[in-house]
Amino acid sequence: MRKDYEIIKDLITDNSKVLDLGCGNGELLAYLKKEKNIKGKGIEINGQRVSESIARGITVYQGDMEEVLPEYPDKAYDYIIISQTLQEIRNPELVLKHSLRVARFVIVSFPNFGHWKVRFYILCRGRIPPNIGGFNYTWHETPDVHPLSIRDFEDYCKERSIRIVKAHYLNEDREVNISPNFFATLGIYMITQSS
Amino acid sequence: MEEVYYVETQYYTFAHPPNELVLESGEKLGPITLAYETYGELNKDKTNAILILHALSGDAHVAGYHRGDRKPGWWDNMVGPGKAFDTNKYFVICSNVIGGCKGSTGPSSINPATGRPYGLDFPVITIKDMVNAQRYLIDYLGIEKLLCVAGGSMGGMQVLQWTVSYPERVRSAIPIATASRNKAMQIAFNEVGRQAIMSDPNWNRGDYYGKTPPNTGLAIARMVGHITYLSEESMEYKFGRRLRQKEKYGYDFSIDFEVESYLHYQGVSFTQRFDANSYLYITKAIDYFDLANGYGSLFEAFSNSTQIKFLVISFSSDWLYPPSQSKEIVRALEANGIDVTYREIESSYGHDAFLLEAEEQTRIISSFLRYVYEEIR
Repeated sequence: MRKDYEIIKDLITDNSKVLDLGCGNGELLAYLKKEKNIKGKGIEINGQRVSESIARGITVYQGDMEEVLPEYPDKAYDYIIISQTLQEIRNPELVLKHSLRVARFVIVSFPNFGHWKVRFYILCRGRIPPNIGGFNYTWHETPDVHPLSIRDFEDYCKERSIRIVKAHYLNEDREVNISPNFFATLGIYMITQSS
Repeated sequence: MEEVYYVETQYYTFAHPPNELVLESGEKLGPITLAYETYGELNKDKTNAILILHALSGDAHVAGYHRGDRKPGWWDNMVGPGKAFDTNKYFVICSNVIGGCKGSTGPSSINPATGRPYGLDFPVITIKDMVNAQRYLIDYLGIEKLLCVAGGSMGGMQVLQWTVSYPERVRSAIPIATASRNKAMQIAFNEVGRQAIMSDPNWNRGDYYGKTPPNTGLAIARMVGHITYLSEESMEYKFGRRLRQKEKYGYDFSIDFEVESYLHYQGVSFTQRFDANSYLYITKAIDYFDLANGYGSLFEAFSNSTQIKFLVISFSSDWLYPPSQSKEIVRALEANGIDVTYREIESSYGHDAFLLEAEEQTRIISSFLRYVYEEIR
């Protein structure tokens, strides 16, 4: 299994209620269901991916998370997962705010645009690197409308008094311990606003 | 080559006086006959039964062939061996609604009190009454709990009514292209249809059996209805401004355009297979449908349905029962903590998509049913 999925699996407790925002083909929820016996649900806007999730036995809502999340009641879920989706969301502020309200813990992972390769690419070539986040998108194709770095995210949490319960930094499949904003390609956080 | 699946309509009669069915209106109806068909085999534990509910003009003949017929049942692309509702695995039941004209008791049936067809003496029925009648059939078949109730349009309304009226009798539900209540625009179209029938002199206050029926009115009602089942895009694709068997405009009021010819054909052929009074009664039942009625809100209506698993399906171009109304259902279910999956299928077919988009529906419905069935085994 993907290393980031394994880390997410280890962050959540057995039998918990999990909502996956932008659940894609349902692979992560199916994995958590199998490993942790979670009661899971996904939100996904792409119809084909919704069908793939259904084929995996996942409960899924086809629609826009920014539209439905505000209607969910407080603490309806134990965990909300935003796996490599945060940078694609139109209004990440709104989604994070409501996620922290709707779930006790929010697990966020995102590609780190502070990684040294990104920095050097821009510095040396003066162009936006085509492979941020592991995909070969050009600037006009990329769905990443809100690229962010590990430092950006941690500053954001500090400003909003969001508590970081746990942080993991990955460079490809290996954990990074030194200067993560420079060496990690992916940050994975568990955050909360509960006391 | 696919094997031809032959099926026969069966009949079950119940609610014999003095034990008539008490209707929502307070009136009584009995005896009641339901025409129904079954497909596949009921397993030993009776846990594999699926009830399919039909729409306004549907009937019990959901799939397969009647001997001598050239056309299969109305949802044959979805029901049968290896299909979405796989009759190799599941026992599928479909019955004609009360008020209908395809073998179940309706306004064209003989009124035992007079020995003549009911006509307007037939009591006004509701979606809830249709479901209550179906429950007798399910009891008779010895099924304690249905694996699934499924249907589109008015069939979807019956699905929702089942989950509210008999939550303990249903494991899962698939309401398709439907709504929890009929709204103004939907009532408006139905009223145009009814007025077309009632303004036809042959209607004769519903007393036309054995005489010339109000075919003109019924055909116009069907034409209006048919427009609402399509979409602007699908009509443009299907007909455009193409002329019917002529090179230039006729400059008269005969048929010029393909779309006119199509609607005329749909209207006239409908009169061959449907009873005008049934059209009045069934559209009225649809108009009266409001699931929240008597509960205060839709949320409260579903408050006892928490053990049921839902798959709600809508279609992007359906403007008669648009995705927004399916989402209303989903919201009310979610607010009750009910397990609900929602899929909005991209389609240009309009409301008719539930009968036509077999591939995508098959993919999600067969998966959904497989997991529901696995859970109980």
